[in-house]
Order: sequence, then structure tokens, then C-alpha cells
Amino acid sequence: MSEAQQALRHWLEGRIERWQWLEKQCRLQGGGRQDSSRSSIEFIEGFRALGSDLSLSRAVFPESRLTRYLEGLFARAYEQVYRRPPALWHSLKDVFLHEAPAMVYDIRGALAATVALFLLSIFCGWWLVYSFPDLVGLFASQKMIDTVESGDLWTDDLLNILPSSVLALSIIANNITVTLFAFVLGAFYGIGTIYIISLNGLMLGGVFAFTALHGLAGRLFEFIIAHGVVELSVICLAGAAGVHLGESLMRPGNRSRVDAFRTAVRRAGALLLVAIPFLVGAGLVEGYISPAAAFPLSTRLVVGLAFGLVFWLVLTRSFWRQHTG
Amino acid sequence: MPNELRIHAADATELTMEFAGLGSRSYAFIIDWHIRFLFALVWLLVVWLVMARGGGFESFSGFFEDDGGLHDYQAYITLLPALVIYFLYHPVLEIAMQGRTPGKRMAGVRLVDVNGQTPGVAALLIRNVFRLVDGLPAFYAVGCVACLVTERSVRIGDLAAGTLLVHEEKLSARALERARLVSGNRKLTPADQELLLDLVERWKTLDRAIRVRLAVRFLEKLGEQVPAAANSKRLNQVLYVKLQQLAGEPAH
Repeated sequence: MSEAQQALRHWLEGRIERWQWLEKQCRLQGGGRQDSSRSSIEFIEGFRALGSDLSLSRAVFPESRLTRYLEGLFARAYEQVYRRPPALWHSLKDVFLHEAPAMVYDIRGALAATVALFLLSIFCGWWLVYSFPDLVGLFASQKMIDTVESGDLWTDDLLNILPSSVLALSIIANNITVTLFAFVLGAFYGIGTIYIISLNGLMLGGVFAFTALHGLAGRLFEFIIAHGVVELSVICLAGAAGVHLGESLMRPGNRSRVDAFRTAVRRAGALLLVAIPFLVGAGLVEGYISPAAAFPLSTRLVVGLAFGLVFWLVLTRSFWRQHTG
Repeated sequence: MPNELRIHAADATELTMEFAGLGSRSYAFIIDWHIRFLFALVWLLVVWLVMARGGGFESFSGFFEDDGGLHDYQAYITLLPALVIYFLYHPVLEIAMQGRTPGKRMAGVRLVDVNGQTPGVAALLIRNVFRLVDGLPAFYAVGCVACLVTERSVRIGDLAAGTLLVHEEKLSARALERARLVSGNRKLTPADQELLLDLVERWKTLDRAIRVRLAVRFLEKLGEQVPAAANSKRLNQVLYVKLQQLAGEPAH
């Protein structure tokens, strides 16, 4: 064995254990483990030595698996040394208290346009079905149509078919999916979002018109009001966020489209994070209060309006903070 | 087209990370999909079996009926964990495993941000929300097309979140030991050592005819005598032993 190779083997013998130790530390520290200052110093020393090992490996074994392994290990160790301390709780608090309200303020134009589109779609759906009742087949299933024509609402028997818990879970999953769709489809230059908002508006208007034709609109309103204020607010808000994504792609300004899109997603995503707990709440109300005959209209109105008020108070902090100093 | 991410660390060290393509990405996803689906299904079946023994439910659908079926708390115990496993598998594991999931680990890939570091929680949530778009209209068609046409082989979710999928070279303790042993062979240049280690490591996963051909060519390149054998099976064994000897390993 030549002298150089002996040195190489000696180097490898001495270092392998150290690299494995660093690898283990990266794994542990990535999991959020708190370390003593002594072990931190030891880690930093190991990281420095790893830098030298990487240089040597690149010189002796360029393009080898060993070099790639050391590069990967160096990147992970580098991250552990230079990363910012994790502050998940503070970030979450910041999103609820500042980022989301500020975003609502910034996209107020898009929000107003989305609400207007939603109301217009409701009106169109209502007018279509009220004028041409046969068109209700576009918005409702045959089973729903048959139930309404026999003088009942399809919501009357909900609790006989499914228990409140299963109903609430399926509603929560469905509402979160619709909300997220309304948001992410903004990636298609906002067109996907406009489609979702219009479709939901048309359905709501169409179904209300059909129940009105059979004298059941009041009962449908009674069913919807407790959960609907928050649910429809969230749909509009997600729609506004989706429109904002579309706008970032159409008018990226000085930045590249990808950069503008990424920034818009990050900021609008804060809104959804705040909206999701409210959707969970709305799903529980829809599972336990809305279909239960025991709750009178007054209770439903109080629940719906109070829940909606809390939602909008949380998300309009920027407005009322500015006006109250 | 550049297929690697170059990062300039604070101490002037330059690091490179190779982007993972559609193949590695799909491989990882298929493994993950099966894991989460099986876990959710197993949970549902186990809870159903446990509760059915006490509650006398005759069928799986009867389990969810209101009249005589589940109590509310039973429904939550049954459904909630299954839904959580299925829908939150990717975001939760990617956050907990620093940009990895079991599938990604098996495929040898991980997620990083544009600086080569583990993406933040917000970025990981965003890339998972955008699965809704990437999954359209079915079988991740939009995501696959995006991977094929984008410079860094990313789907829409990665574009939105600023994340990248890169290959991660992992060396097991055994592979490191092999590297140490082979470094003592003075007949081999570093490039030959790399080839030899690669061949020995992948020996059992290669087709027999291919690995025999590669081993013969490698030995000829080194000027080593190619051992003779009565048949291809025997030649395969003899060649493997020879390669192990060259790598400094005790032959098994």
C-alpha cells in the first residue's frame, strides 16, 4: 500500500464514526431536541471538520458517492448551525392576529368583487329556476327534487340517515375541500375560482327558488342560517384569495410570474389557515343544530349571526384597529 | 438544462443537489399512497371489529346508522383518525421528518427550499394544499405535466410553495465500511474504487447476465484475470467473490 493510500485509509478510519455521529445529531436536532451548550459546541466543531473532509473528498474522490454523501451531510449540518430558532407558536399567533386581517384589508377589492359575483350568481340561479322550474335538474339530484315535490325538505330526515357526528365530519371534510378548491383554482389565472363561486351561487339560488315554488323556502332558510353565515363567508373569502392568485399571475409587476404567484399564495394562505377552524365549527353546527327540530328559528338566528360576527371581527381587525387608533 | 441546485454556503463552500425527476417523485408517491391507505383501512377495520364484538353490528354499513348504530364518541374514534391519517399524512410527516416521508426516504429524495434547507411549515402546507390542482383531472395529470415541462421538475404545488425535490445520498454503515476497505487497494484509482463499490452494492439487484458482463469488463479494464467457470451460475458466483476480494471484503 502506498503512503498516500495508507493516509487515505487512515483518514477514512478516523472519520467514518464522526460522520455517523453528526448524521445522528442532525436527525435528533431536526426533531426539535434542545441541546446543552457543550454538545452544541461539539456539533459545531464536528461541522467544521466535516467541511475539511468534504474538501479532501472532493479532491480525491470527485463525483463519488462518498463525496455526494458528505455534501448532503454538510448541507444538513449547515442548516442546523445556521437556521433560525423554531417559533411555530409565534408564527401562528402572528397569522391570526396580524397577517390574515392585513390580507383581508389588502384584498378588499377582490373580496367585494367576489361577493358581488356570488350574489349575482344566486340571483341568476333563482331567476332561472323560478322562470323555468325544469332547470332545477341542473342543480339538484332527482331524489332531492322528489322530496321537495312531495312537500318535504331533504334535510328533514338527515338525522335519521346519519348520526350528527358522521354528518358533521362529512360536512367538515366537504366544506374544507370546496374552500381549498376555490382558492387553489385561482392558479388558472383566477378562472377556476370564478367558476367555483359562480357554480355555488347558481346552486344556492336555484335550490332556494325551487323550494320557494313549493312553499318550503322559509324552512330551508331555517336550516341554513345557523351554519350558513360562516360557510358562505368562507367561500367568498377563499374566492377572493383565489382571485388574488389569478391577479398575481396576470399582473406580476416587477417580479417574475412565479415569484409574484409564490408571494400571493403565501399571503393568501394565511386567510385559509384562519378560516379552517371556523369551517370545523360550522360543520359541527350543521351536524348538531341545523338538522335538529328542537332548535327554534330564534336560536338558529342567534347562533348563525353570533358565529358570523366573531368570524368577521377576527378577520377585520385591520379595519377597526385603524379606526380606533 | 441544469439538473442540480447550486448553493453557496456562508463559508464560501459550494454545494450541489440533484433534482429528482418524475420517476423518483412517482415512486415515492405510490409508496406513500399505499402506506396511508392501508393504515387508514386497517384502523377502520380494527375499530369496527373491536366495537362490533361489543355492539353486535352485523354489517359495516349498519355500523354508521343512527338508529342502534354508533354513539357519537364511537363515530369520532372510528372516523376521525382514519380521516387524519389519509388527509394529513403528507403534511404532518413532511413537517416531522424534515421534508421527507417514508416513501420519499425509500426513493432517496427529500424536499428542500431554494436555499437547500428544510422548507418551513407554511411552505409544506401550501405544497400539499395544491395537490388539489396537481391531481386534476385524475392521476396527478397536471402535476406530471408540470414536472415534465418545468426546468427543476416541480409540480404546481412546489412552484407555489418554493420547494424542490432533490436526491439525497445516504450511505449505510456497511457502505461506509466498504469505502474504507476499498481505499486500501493500491491497484485501483479512486474512479475504479467508485465503480467497484457501485457494482458490489448493486450486484444482487442487477440481472445476472448484465452483472456478469459488467464484472468481466471491469476486470479486463484492470488487467485482472477473468476467472473461468463451468456455467453462467458458477461464473456469477466466482466473479462476485473476486470483486469482493478486490474491495477488500472477506468473501462469504
